[in-house]
Amino acid sequence: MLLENGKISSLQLSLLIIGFIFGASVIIAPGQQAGHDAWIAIALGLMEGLIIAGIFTVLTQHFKGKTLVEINSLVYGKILGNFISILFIWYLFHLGALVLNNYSRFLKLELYPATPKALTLILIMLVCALTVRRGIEVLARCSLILVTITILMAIFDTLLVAPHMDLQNLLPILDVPIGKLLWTSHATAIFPFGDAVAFLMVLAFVNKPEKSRSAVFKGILIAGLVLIGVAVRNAAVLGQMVAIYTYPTYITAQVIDIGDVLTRVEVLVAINLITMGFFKISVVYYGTVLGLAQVFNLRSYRPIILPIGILMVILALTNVSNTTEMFDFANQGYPIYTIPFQIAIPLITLLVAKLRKLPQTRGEQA
Amino acid sequence: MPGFLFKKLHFKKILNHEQKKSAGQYSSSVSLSQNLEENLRVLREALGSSSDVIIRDMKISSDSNIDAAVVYIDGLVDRALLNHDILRPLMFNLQLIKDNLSHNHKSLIDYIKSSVLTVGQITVVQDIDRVIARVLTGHTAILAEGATRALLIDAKGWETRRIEEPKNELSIRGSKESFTETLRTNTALLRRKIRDPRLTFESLQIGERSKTDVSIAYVQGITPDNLIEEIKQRLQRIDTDIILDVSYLEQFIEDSPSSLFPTVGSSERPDVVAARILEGRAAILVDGSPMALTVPFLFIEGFQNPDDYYARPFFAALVRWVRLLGYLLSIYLPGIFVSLKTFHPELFPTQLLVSVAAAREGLPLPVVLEALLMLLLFEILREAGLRMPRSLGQAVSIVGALVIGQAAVSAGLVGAPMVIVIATTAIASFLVILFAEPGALYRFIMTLAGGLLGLFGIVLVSIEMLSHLASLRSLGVAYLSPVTPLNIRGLRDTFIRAPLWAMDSRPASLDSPNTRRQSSGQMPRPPKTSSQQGDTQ
Repeated sequence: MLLENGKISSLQLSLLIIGFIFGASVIIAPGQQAGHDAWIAIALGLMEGLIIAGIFTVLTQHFKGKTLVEINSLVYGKILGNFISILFIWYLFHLGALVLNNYSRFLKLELYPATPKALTLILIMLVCALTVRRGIEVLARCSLILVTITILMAIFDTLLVAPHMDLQNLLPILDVPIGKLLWTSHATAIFPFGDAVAFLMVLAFVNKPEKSRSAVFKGILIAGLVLIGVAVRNAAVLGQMVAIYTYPTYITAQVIDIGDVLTRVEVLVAINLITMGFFKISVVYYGTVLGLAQVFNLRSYRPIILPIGILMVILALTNVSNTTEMFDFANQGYPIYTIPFQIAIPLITLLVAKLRKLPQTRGEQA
Repeated sequence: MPGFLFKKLHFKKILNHEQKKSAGQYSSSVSLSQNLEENLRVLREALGSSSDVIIRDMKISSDSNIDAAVVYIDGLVDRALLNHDILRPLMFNLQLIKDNLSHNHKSLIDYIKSSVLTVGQITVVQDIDRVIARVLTGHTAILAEGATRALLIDAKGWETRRIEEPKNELSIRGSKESFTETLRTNTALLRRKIRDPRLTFESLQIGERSKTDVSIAYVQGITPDNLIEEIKQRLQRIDTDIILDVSYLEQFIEDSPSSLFPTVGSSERPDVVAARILEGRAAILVDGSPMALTVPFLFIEGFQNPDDYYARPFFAALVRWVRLLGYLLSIYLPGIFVSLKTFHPELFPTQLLVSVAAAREGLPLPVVLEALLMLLLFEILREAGLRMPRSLGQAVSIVGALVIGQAAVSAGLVGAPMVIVIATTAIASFLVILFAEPGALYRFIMTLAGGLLGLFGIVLVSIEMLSHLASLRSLGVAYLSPVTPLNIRGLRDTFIRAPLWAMDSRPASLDSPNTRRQSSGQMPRPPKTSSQQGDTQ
């Protein structure tokens, strides 16, 4: 019984991860706490994020072709395994709701002040639901085109804003206290890079499992480098103000003014946000429904797409009451809240699997 | 897996059932009797009292007085051939018949076949059902008293259209012939392009009543075998009474009937179809339709044109980009204009914004409704121009230009910028004819989305459109390949058109068993020695 019979290539996996990481991070600028030193925080966070990715990819290398839910029930047995799986699914579900919330908040604040948040949420959700229904293969195919467009547009933006850049704004380097910098970089490692742990539900479908690990690394690395570039650009354009604006990337695009013809192109940045958010939501959404279907032994994950989507929209509408709270949670709470899911679950599962000498078939431990 | 197996089994069951059904039909068929009267009676009963059925009684030998009959359908038979090469020999070569066999009726038929008739294709049958079926397709049947077999002579001949210039897929440098309604002519057109002995036309009849001849054309060893199997299975599954056009088949065999986009290609040009067959595709020809289907069909084919390959590669690439951008423009332009005007006026350059705002001063409708109204008007005009008797064409264009353009603006019903936008869209929509229908639908959707939700709505619809396109398959091949899933080698014939000498392999996404098209490194270059000499001198 296969819930998903699509296969994705390692290139598609990398692109999917890039899209996933861009997903929310173009809205909530990662490392913003560090002000103009954000790029240092992102660079440090990228390293930590790669370590996190190292842990969970080792796990999938051990259990090729298995999602986390299947791995859990192998390692811990049916009951405990499913319990842990449900915890992880909750994390995915909650993450989806948080991303959705970010999006609707951004759209409300910057683009459509008069449109109810619920409407934008439902529409995004609907598009994601339709894609999730079509399976991981289709999502992966979309990634190639959309991620390419996004990266091109980011480069385009950067070129257009180049006249306004002042690299002096990056000085003095290491301006923030070292403790704060480390905390910020940890926060960056968790979000956006660490969230890639959601791919524990996807890595099973890579057509060449032995290449999946390097594909994950490549994806995270490229996304990280682009984010560093974006942080440098934002800081160079906005200077000290970069720490104050809610959406620095968006504001940076506002600065663009080419001969009075190309002005106020920030909507194009908003388009990027929407497309990339689509990936992040779709991946966690997919992970949630697939995981639930596997935990409860459903024959197909399709029937629960809509109910889960509705629940996710409701959680997104209710879980955070205002923007300050959202940023507080993203910067203070989230880096601690996610440690069990991003680090503990994969790590402990890996250790237990090693202790129990799983998987027992052939010499796959090497 | 179980679902897949179940489907297979289920399908087998259907096939068995169908085979039984058809077998039953044949077992009840009557073989010809010795009695000519009896045979003719059965034929008359089956063919009815239709006036175009001709049953010509005659005697083949005046001496032995063997009764015989020639049965054919008037209008489907070449009369000259019938008179000169069938009736005349039968009636006048009496001596020969008398001399060679006295009254051996069994071999009379064989004798007529081998020595009397001077026509090419003759078959001998024993079933009266086969006689009826063949006579209906235009064969001439000869029955003789005392013979339990009948001769079927292929003397088909009816009024057909000549091979004409393609009407819809124009080309500047390419060949000027297009398919006609006759299947044989069409297969001959293909055969003349591909003289490979492995070019195969597999025939079958579809349609309970129409018994339409359908031909699957492919080159063995280049078109994947499983593709041909799949096509055959899908064609055999069809159970309908009439196939009027190749598009009937298209609707029965396509992968995603609920999609707005076609997943089966069609062309009226033999050169296009020949090229596609040699890329590893299969073509389906239908008698009575001047179009051929080609499968699998990829999205990018909609943007390819025979002239791309006949023109120089750089220009071909430019034209391809123009087509791609034009198509996107035809979908997006009204939507983007509406969304900018409604939600994001800051994106307009200031000067343009001022003039657009001035033009919209005092207009009664919101910009979305205005756009939708104009789009609707354009669709009406287009449809009217298409279906109207040709003599009225001028009236429509004049009225259309006046009403949509001049009068609407000066009456203050629509703004001039909107007219420009819609006109640009309309012209752009004719760039990619193959996708004009989904384009028109998506244009309306985009306009509506842009009017209700601005660029956000347009982006959402676009993502949905992309995800839909990415989910499509055409006989197992991903619709958007070779772009996504990415196939670098396949990209040589997508956004650019590589020179012909550089395209040395068939498109990989089609999975042809023989990928090598030509030897590589055929780039033309001047002979080395002579050029060096030229330099030194």
